[in-house]
Amino acid sequence: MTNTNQLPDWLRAALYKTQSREPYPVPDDPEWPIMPVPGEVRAARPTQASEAESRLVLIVATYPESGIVSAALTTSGGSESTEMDVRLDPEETGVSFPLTIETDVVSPLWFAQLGPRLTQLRADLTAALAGLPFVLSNSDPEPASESAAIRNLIQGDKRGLPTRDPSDPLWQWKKRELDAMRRLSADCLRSALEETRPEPMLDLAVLSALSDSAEDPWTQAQQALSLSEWAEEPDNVRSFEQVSAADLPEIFNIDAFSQRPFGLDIWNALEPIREQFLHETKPSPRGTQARVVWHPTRKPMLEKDQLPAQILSCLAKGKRSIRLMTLAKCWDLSEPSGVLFVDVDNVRLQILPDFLENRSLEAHA
Amino acid sequence: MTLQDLRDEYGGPHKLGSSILSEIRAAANRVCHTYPPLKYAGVLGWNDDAIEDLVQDVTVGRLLGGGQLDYIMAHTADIQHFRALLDRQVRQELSARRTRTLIDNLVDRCGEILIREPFTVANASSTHRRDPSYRLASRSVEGRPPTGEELRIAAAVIRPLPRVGDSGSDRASAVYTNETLQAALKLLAETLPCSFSIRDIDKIFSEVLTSWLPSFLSEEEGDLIASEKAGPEEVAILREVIDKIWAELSPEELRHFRLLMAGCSFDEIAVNLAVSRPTELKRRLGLLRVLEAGLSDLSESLQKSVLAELFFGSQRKQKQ
Repeated sequence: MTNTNQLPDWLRAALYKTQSREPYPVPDDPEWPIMPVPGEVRAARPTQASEAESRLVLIVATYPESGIVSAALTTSGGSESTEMDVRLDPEETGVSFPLTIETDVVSPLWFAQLGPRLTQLRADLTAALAGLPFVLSNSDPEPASESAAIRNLIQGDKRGLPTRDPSDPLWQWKKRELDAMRRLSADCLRSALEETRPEPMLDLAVLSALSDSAEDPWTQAQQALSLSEWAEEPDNVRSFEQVSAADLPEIFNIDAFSQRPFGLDIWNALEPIREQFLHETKPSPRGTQARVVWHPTRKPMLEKDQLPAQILSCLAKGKRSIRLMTLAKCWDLSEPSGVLFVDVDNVRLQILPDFLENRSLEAHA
Repeated sequence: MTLQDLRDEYGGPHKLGSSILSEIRAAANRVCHTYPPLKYAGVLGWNDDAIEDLVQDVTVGRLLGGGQLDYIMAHTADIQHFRALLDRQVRQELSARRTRTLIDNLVDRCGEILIREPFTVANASSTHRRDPSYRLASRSVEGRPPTGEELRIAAAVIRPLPRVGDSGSDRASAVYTNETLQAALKLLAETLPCSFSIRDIDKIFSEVLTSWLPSFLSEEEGDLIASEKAGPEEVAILREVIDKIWAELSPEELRHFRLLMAGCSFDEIAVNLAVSRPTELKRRLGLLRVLEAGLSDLSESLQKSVLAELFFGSQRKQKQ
């Protein structure tokens, strides 16, 4: 810890003037569950640390079902700004630094890329920032009254000068900013453009939980029914390639099932999953030395957790987002909501959980 | 030193202690030696005092006063990223110093131009003697200060004017020749619907210079004056086309043309010219018809030259 007496006088005087400001939270430690809303300013990190630099972004829209936000890039401290960039003072944002919102550099990002909330802009200001590029480009004219309202909220002196042509330094700066955002959002953007549904997977710990003697048998039966319905949906349960057939007895433990009320009914209900499992597992999956960090912490239900190998298989296929049928109690969660994510050797993958508890509750209702 | 060490210090009671300060000193040392010391620090060499001055300016003015330490800590991912962001802060501080010097010189020169014809002082009352406002003697304008929007549009209009590049000598660049600076002030006076003060000029040049300073330091002259590189035959064609277009454009259409060339949006032009959107659209179409008729047979480089001459020629020749 620094002793202030070791610091030069000029620095002690400057610190005295600014000491009331609270430090900002660490960017890779978001609140849980992470539920971004429009108007928030958060740090955004790339899915692969070496591919891009982290930046602050303004959330302009959210799509919770996909775990995706639409975010505008921001910058601070520089002098560059075009007519599409809006310079906001600390009094307008609540953060301690001036913030320039690049309203024309907008791209999708996964929830899992976001850090903690730093501040939240007013709803009318956020809407005006989102609408500004359309007003200025006249490509999608807003009604005259809305256009006037946006102009009224975002006065001209908050914006920079129009860009002219590629020889314009502002043009070059904007090109670099677009490139930075493209790198930051590359995986999410590709996924959004391909319009592919994230690969569905089954957390095999769920099967073990359905025979757990500590659980209420009625709840287990209801959850088994919901799980069998989920397995009948097209394309669900197809990612067992990395699971070893040698682990079958622990995952489908007929002895454990047979000792539980409704145990054999549940066993039968899981028949389609068991069939698929037997067809797709391999005799000896490759082991993993990867460093796996779950967010939030995962609570293993099986002696050998199969999920890391399944995740590695997805990453090897270039996937950075999956859907996972799981149980909330497999995770250190206070409630079954929000997204999960996992870091495997500095590559982040977003997990959109489909909590079996929620399904069975809905079915019961 | 790890990022966690710096985060621990940042999260402590003083936010910025000896660890972060040593990182700032290292950044200043990394960056400053690529900048000429006389221009950026007013000294012959980057000695310890000059570097310590730079460290203080970055620390007090930017990292603490400007909240940039918070900005960095709110999104930095690793120690390399932290150092890159600190380097950027040092570069921005040096760039701001240079911009300030250039603007101060420009503003001094503007003060000398504005006291002579064709300009006049718009308000002579004793309350305005300290910061008088100016206008063109031949043009009546509103007696109020310009709004932020009007200043921004004025900055956009003068931005294409050709600049004198940095010579590489130790003397600060003039930025504009005297003729161009006079043209810039006339453009401002014709663009703004009201009188303007030296303080307004300072704001306008701040906007203009910061937008192109990064590349300006190694530039020669602006490329819009391509006609000065044309041969005799091309000059004759240019003159003919320019005179023809010139004769067909009204003063309002010329103002419209400048705003278009400056990259102003549809709405901004309508607001600046105080016309409705339909009127602006009608004028824009008329203007484009005249330009198309005049330019369609010319090569791309000649088209560019004609547009440049129209833009700057409108300053050199007062249209009646």
